[in-house]
Amino acid sequence: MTSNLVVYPILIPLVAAIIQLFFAKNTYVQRALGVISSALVLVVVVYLYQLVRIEGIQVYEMGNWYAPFGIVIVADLLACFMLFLSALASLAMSAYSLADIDKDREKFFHFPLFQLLLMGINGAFLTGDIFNLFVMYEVMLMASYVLLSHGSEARQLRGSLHYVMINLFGSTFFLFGVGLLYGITGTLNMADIAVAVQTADPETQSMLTAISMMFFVVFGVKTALVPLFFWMPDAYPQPPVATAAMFAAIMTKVGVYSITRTFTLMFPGDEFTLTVIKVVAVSSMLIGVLGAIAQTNFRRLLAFHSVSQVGFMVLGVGFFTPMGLAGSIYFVMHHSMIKSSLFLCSGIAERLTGNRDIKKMGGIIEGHPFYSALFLVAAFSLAGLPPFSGFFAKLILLFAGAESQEYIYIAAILVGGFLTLFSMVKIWQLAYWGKREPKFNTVNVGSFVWGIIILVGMSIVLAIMVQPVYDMVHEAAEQLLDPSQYIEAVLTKGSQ
Amino acid sequence: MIGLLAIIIGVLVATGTYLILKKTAFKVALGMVLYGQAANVLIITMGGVKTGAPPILLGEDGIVYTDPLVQALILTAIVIGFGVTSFLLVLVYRAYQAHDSDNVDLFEGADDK
Repeated sequence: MTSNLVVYPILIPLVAAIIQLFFAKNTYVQRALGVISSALVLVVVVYLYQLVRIEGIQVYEMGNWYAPFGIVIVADLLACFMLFLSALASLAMSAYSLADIDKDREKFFHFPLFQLLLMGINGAFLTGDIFNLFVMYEVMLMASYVLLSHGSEARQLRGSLHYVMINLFGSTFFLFGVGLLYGITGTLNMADIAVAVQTADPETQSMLTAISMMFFVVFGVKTALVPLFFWMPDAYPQPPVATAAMFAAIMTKVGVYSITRTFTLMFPGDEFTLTVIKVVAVSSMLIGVLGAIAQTNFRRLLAFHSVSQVGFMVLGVGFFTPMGLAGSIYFVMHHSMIKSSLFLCSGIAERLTGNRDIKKMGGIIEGHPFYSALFLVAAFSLAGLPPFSGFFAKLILLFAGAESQEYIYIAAILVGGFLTLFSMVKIWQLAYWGKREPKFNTVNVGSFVWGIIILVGMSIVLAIMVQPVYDMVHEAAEQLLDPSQYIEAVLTKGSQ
Repeated sequence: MIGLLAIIIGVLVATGTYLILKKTAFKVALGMVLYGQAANVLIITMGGVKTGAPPILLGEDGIVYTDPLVQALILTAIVIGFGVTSFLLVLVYRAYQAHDSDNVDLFEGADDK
């Protein structure tokens, strides 16, 4: 099915960024345009999701060059979910950055950069061409480099230098992988690669497995899986909170999405690859959370948690069952809402206490009960306590593990969840409970919480509507495990 | 020809790896540049190296032609690499200005836990 609608999630942020640049001096117009563009993408995505459910996978052939010769933009159910999350997160982050971003950063194009980041992210979710995926990654990374080093405070520079270098390394590896894959399969279209891999003779099969592992390394760098996560705790504490939250909400998920796409469509179900994925996932899960326990810097702690939580999502892909993938998608949805709201909470706590170390905070709940309650809900949800969304996310993964009788991984999920709870309680006790520090800054918390309310509210909806949402993600997972649908939609010549 | 290109790729990657392991930010940046070049050479090698063949298929059977796609790919990769490298160099210089040193161990925040 062909539809022009598929391109809009990429076009809307691009156009918004261009218009914003015309109003370089007028930050009010820029802010308004940022919110409008995110909201528009959200509307388009919901409509697109309906379309995909009714008519099947939507394909747009760029310049009318049909696949595998032209670049195709493809929206399947998974892509729709990811687009929904990126639109939702960007809407919440736009709302938060209205109050958070300082005048200097505003003047130097924070808002257009944010829209370009959104464009790159949406492009990465939608593209059906592996080289175009590389290009979209670069669009996204270029915007993220600037956003991360924006303001160039001395401390910020180290983290962003680290981030730029590791990602540049990852991109080069991506190019190596694409080059080798093109040499073997002679095509860059993902659906066409899938066909070529299926029909490859056993000798090239081992070469293809090696290439798939190269892609796993590349996406592992972007997702911050163990052992490639060291950039993340350095990078996240420094930029403005809205930027860090956007990175935590969506940027790492782009890597998870790419891993899911690569290992369900192009290199599906290889026993060796799946074992590697599961082992890496479990070690991220445990090492990340152990790292988090040792931290007292609020945002560093959360960054380590991201490493750990990404492990859960990738483990779901490693199970390679409908339930495992459904759990992975549900986990992605839950985590992108909860982790970004935790980051936003940390931003308010930093403003209130003028400190980043939770040991030097204390007693925030006094005077700010509503905001503290929001943090508590998000923290318990991350730890996986019922009745919040994190509980159901882990529950689905546990069921998936039991279904494929992988009991070691079940144990790892439980241990990881328990340790997460421990470190969340640590934040709660040190920063929110306890004696109130006398030197609190006066902050208009009311202007900040809107972004958090959107995100925490959505995660509660996710928890209440768990059965319908599960049915939806299960449908998406089944579509992923049947790559012939994707291949057919893309490769049917002139599918209009 | 392919063998020569393979050796060139190997030398570029080896030199790049050596530079990336340094602690001086500028040398690491140079290592990244070499890596990028190695990737470009690799891609053009993967398209198959032929001499004197046009980059278009003329519709006759059995005619050799050079794969134009890999050239388009590395053109894109070069442009992107150029942009990112210039940004990286500015960032390295800015960090040098802020810390009065090029050694990443001496940067502010290096001892954060």
